[in-house]
Amino acid sequence: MTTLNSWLNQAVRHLSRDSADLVRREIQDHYDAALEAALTSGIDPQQAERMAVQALGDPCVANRQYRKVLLTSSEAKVLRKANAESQMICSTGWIRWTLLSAPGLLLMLSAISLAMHLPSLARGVLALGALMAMFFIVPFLPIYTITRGRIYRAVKWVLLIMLVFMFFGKDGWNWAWLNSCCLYPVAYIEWKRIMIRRKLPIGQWPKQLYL
Amino acid sequence: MNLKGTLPTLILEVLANEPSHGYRIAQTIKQSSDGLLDFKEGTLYPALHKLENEGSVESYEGAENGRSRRYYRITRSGRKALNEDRAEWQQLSRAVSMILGEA
Repeated sequence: MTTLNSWLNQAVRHLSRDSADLVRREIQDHYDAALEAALTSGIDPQQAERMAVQALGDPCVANRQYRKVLLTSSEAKVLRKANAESQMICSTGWIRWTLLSAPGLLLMLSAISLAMHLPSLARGVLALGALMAMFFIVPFLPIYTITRGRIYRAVKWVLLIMLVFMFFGKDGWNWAWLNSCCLYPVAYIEWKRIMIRRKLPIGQWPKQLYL
Repeated sequence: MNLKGTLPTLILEVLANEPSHGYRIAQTIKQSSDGLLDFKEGTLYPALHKLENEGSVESYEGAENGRSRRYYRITRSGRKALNEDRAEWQQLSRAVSMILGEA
């Protein structure tokens, strides 16, 4: 039994709690069935246990394969946090309306700056407004289908890169280190979401996976 | 013998006959190949989950000898994938036989 437990502990490393529970349940069932078959054929119980665990193979190999198809703890954390954030935004009226009205206000501010002959400020404010619109207004629109989600993600990344260059102008490359640091969290989340999309059947996708 | 990458096709082939649970799938593959195709049973379930994520198989709770078990059955897209895999495998096998036959 201890041997099976140590096999399972290695096989479920870095998997989310739900994934780990699923693996434990299915491997335990498999082990029980193998043990039962071996005992029925008259094999010594201790040897039968050893054989059942041996037949499962290397737990590290199984763990690598499980991590490709089941949610890992870091992916589950990304899903959980994004769910909590979107719930917080949607359920708190003043936050929702501030975020929804901010892009319009920033657009007006940008026009005023331009009228006051402050083109750099106007450009920066416009970039910020576009960013906010992309991240906070679009999710309220009906984009939750596979194709629309793909289009949104492509537009988001193109716009994000364009805005960085628009904001920094010709100095864009000089500020590459700063841009990389700022974009790293966004890129990290996007990478995790790509992995999650591969693992979850489309029917089980939460809304955030379309974004 | 370990034929890397063929496990999903073998699983679909077993499930094309009847819905089954993990242990029985493993035993059927081993017995059908006279023990020649020997794979580690711990790798069966990741392959089953992958097929489930792709929509080729679906799982449901069933019971055998009074014990609750997770059964898997092939879907329509799974049958289509199996037919494609079969055709691909026959082509590959024919090509290899032609080369080995010439040697």
